Amino acid sequence: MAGGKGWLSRALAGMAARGEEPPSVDAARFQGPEDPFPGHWREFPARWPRIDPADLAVRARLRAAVGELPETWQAVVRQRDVRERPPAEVSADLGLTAAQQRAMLNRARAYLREQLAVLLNRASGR
Amino acid sequence: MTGAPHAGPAPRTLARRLRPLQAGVGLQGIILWVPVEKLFMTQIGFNAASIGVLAAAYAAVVPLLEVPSGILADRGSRRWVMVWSSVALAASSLLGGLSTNVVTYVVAAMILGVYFAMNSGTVDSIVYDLVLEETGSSALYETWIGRVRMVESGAFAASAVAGGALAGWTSARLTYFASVPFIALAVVAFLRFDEPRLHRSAEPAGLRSHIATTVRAMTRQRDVRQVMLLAALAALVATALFEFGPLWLIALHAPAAAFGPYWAALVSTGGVGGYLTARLRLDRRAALLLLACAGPAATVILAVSRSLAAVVVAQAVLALVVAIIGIRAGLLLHDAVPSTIRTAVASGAGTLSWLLFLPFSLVFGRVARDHGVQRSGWILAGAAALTGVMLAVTVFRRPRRVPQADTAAGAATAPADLACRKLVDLVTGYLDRVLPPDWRAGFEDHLADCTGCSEYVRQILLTIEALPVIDDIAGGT
Repeated sequence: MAGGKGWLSRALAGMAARGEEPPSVDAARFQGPEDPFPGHWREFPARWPRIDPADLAVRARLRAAVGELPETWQAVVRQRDVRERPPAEVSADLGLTAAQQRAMLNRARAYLREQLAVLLNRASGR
Repeated sequence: MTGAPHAGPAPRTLARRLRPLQAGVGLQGIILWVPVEKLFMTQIGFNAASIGVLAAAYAAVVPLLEVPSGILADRGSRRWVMVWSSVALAASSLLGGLSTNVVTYVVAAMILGVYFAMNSGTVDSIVYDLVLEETGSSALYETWIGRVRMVESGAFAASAVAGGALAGWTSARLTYFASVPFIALAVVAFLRFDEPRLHRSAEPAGLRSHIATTVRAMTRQRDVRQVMLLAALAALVATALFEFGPLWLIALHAPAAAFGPYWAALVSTGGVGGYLTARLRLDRRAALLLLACAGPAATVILAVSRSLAAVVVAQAVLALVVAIIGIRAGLLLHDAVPSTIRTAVASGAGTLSWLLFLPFSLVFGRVARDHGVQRSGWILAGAAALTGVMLAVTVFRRPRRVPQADTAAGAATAPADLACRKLVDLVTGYLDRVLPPDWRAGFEDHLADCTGCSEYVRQILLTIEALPVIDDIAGGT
C-alpha cells in the first residue's frame, strides 16, 4: 500500500502548490470570490485613537510583537524601522534581494499593526 | 517591480534551515520492505483477495485519518507531526516484520495508515511556510519543494534496489527490521529542524463557503468535472498498479532480487514523467492520443503475456503514462479553476479516486484469487481504457482558462481597479518609492476613494513612527 498512496498525494500536490500567495493581512479580512466585492475589506479597520509612541504599553506591546516574528523578519524590521537604516544597506547586510527584504518588511509591519490594533481597540473598549 | 516580489536568489538562511528537513525526508524514504511487501505478504498467508480487502480498508481509513492529522499539523508543531509519523512508520515496520499471519499484518498496515495521514501534505506546508518566512513571498516554493521531492524520490529508488537485493540475499522479513535504523535517524534529523513560526493562514473565507465554491465548480462546470474525473482515473490506475502490480511477478515466480529494480523503475516514473512533460510538447493532439492508447495497450500485455520481462516493461510504461496523464490533468485543472479553490478541488479529485479505488480493489482481488492475476488484468485494462477515453475527451474539449490574477505577468501592468487585498501588499513598496508610476497612481487613486485602506495605511505609518523608541529604557522620554 506504500506506493499508490504516495503517488497520488505527489501528483496532486504539484497542482495544489500553485495556490494563491497569501496577502500580508489575514485573507479572512477580505471578501471572497462569492461576496459582492471580492478582494475588498469585509469590515474597515477600526479607527485608532491618537497614540503616543512613548506610551509604555505601546512600547512593550510592540517590542514583544517584534520578538514574535520569524528571525529574519525581526532582523529586517529592527534594521529598517527601529534603527532606520536605508533599504539597500539592509538587503546587502542580510543577503536578501531588495524585493525579498521589502516583502518581509511589509508582512512584518502588517503583523505589528495588527498587534497594536488589538491593544488599542481593547483599551478603547471595542 | 511591484510589491509582489520576484523569485530572485534564495537567501542563505533558507538553504541552511531546509537541510535537516531534506535529510529527514530522505532518511524516512528509505523503506527497504516496500519492493518486497507483496512477496512477504503471500509468504505469511495473504492471497490476492485478502490483499484487495486490505487495500480497500486502507482506502477507506486513510482519508478519514487525514482530517484530524491535518488539523493537528495546522494547530501544533509540524516538526513533531513528522516525528510522530516516523514513530508510526517504525512501529508499523517492526510489527510487520514480526508478523507471521494476516491479522497482525493488518494491524501493522493500519499503523502505517497513521504514518501516511500525518505525512501527507505536511512537508509541503512546512516548505511553503519556510520559503514565505525566509523570502517574504512564495515565489521560490516550487523550486524548493522540487528539491525536497528529488531527495525523496532518490531515496525511494535507491531503497527499492537495496531492499530487493537484501531480500534476495537474506529474507523479505529482514528488510522490515533493517528499515528501522534509518527511520530513527530521520527522527533525529526532524528534531534538529528549526521549523517556521508562520502557519499558512491563507484559508480564505470560511470552510463552508470554501466547500460550497468547490462543489459549484465541480458540478456546474462540465470541463472542471471532466478534468477531475481524468485526474481521479489516472490516480486509480496508478494506485492499482502499485498495489497489485507485484502480484504478476509473484505469479511468474520472479526471484526476490528482481523486485528491487522493478520497484525502482515504477517509483522513478513520477520523476521521469515530470521531466518528459516539461520537455515534450504535450499540447499536440497526436502526442496526447498516442498517450491515450499506450496505457490500454500496456494493460493488454499484462493480461495476455507470460514473460517476466514483458510484464515489467508493460507495468513501467503504464506507470509512466498515468504519471504524465496525472501531471497533465493537474495542469488543466490549474488553468480551469481559480487559485482560491484550487487546493480544495485537488483534494476533491483525491477523494474521488479513493472512492473509485475501494470497489475496484475488492473486485480485482477476488478475480485475481479465483482466476489468476492475468485475468484480472482485464479489469485494469478497462480502467486504463476509460482513462484514455477521458484524456481524448479533454484533448478535443479544452477547458477554458480562468484569468490568473496571481501570475507574475498579471503583476506587470497595473490593474484598472486595485483591490484592498492587493493594496496591503504594496504599502512598503509605496513608502519606499519603488512602485512603477502606473502602480503608484493606482495606489493613490484607491487611497483617495477607500476609507478602509487610508485608515490602514495611516495605522501602518503610526506603527512605523512608534518603532524607533521601543528599546528605550522604560519611563524615559
